[in-house]
Amino acid sequence: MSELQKRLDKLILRMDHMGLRVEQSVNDALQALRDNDVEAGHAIALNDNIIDREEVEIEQECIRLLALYQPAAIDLRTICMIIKVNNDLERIADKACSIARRIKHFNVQNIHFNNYPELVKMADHVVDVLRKTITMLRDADPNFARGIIEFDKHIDQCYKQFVRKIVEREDQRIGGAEVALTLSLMARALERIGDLCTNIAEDIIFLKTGDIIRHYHPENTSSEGSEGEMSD
Amino acid sequence: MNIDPEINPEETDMTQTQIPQLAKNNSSVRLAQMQMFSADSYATLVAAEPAIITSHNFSLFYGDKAGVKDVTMDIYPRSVTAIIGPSGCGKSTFLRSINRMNDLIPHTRAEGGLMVNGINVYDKQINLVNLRQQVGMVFQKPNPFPKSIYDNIAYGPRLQSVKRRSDLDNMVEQCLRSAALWDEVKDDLKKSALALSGGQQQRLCIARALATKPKVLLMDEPCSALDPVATGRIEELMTQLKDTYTIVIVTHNMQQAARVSERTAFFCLGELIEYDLTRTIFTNPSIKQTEDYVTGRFG
Repeated sequence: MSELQKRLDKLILRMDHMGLRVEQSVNDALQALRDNDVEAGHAIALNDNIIDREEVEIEQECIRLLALYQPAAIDLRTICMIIKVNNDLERIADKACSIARRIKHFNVQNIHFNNYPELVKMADHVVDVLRKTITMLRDADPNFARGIIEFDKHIDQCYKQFVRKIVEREDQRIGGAEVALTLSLMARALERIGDLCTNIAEDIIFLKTGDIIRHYHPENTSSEGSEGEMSD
Repeated sequence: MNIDPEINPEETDMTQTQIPQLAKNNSSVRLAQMQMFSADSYATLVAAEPAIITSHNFSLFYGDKAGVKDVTMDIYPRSVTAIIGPSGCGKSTFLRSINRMNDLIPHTRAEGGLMVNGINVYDKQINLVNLRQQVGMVFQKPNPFPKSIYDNIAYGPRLQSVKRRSDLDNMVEQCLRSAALWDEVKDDLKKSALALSGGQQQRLCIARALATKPKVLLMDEPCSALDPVATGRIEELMTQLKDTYTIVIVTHNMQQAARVSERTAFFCLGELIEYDLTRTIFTNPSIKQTEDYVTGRFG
């Protein structure tokens, strides 16, 4: 095995490890949301610091490998994939932090997460899709990746329906706008995690096939994808 | 009314009229550049122009052993085509078949078709001098004649009966300019070519090959004896020359193939394994063997 392969294997292992840490962070944040635990944010923020540092180190190693080995073909695609996935994982961890931060708004406005079955369902979907994404990173199965992309469309649908419903319901109530905003932003954070999982799935497809399928809409259904690209 | 005393009203007017215009120019230039890029990204293996070198089931035998087996590929004009592969894979043999350099090795025999510019290279009637005048060659080690710089370039044209001093002078200057060597040697044309540095000697050999006005330039590892700076200059030269000539280069340096060529052919054990656009070969080759080679897993 060449030196490049050894270092790439190590890097993939590191990315895998980071994926697990990110998954943990999201699970903790959602658990805190269910338990209405305002204090949990601190632990998640600490975990996020570690993830941020790890992200930088993984990126530095990728740049070193590009400069020192001038990789080609599968090795090149692997490094490109790692650079992008690394970045997306870090952003997922950021979303976990923002979920944890928003718990206190729930508390202040006396919103109970469990009273919103759509939001609970969305959170369950997100946990599920993230777990699948992290597993997929290990196996790098493009068919599995396509499944994740399909599943995210479902989460997007849930998000849209939920926001529409909340806005309609809270519209007439006094202080309703604030509640609607809090709930929408929470749903938005969840939906973004799904989008980032889609990005990771697309990178796995690129790794295996060399095809960049992002922004590719064969039936030209709608511009849903570009909406998802907007950051909040 | 001027609210802010610091601002000169004339200046304010000027920025207001200039900024939108600048932005517009800038974006239209950038858009034009982008269109250029997208045209490039739609390039295909088969070029719009007809191929200048066509190899159809071409094989070359050394005695009983095939050096090159059943190679079918088209090489397109005004581009650089790289041939890569492990040692002994037949890439140099194939390259040297194009201007019949292999004839110098005893017991060689060719089968199949190899056409340059519509002429069958292995036709018995062919005039080898004419063929090699059309298909020039640059070798691994710089091999200038032990003559002056001027005479090295003038050698070919003199054989082609160019006698007038002014014609020869023009030719020498033009070839040296094309080979990006003129500025370095214009005051020392009478000096021995062997006094030049390795990189300069190699560029002199390229200039010498250009002097017979070839259509095709074959390069057999032209940079393997040169340092990185000289290599960079030869590569730069290749990108300039490809507007006029068809360049086929054999190289062991895969980064070089990736940098200079539009198309890359991968040879192994005498066979052509994969032939595709260079960027495909180096990012997403179709065949496992090619991938293993370009990633350094074998070869």
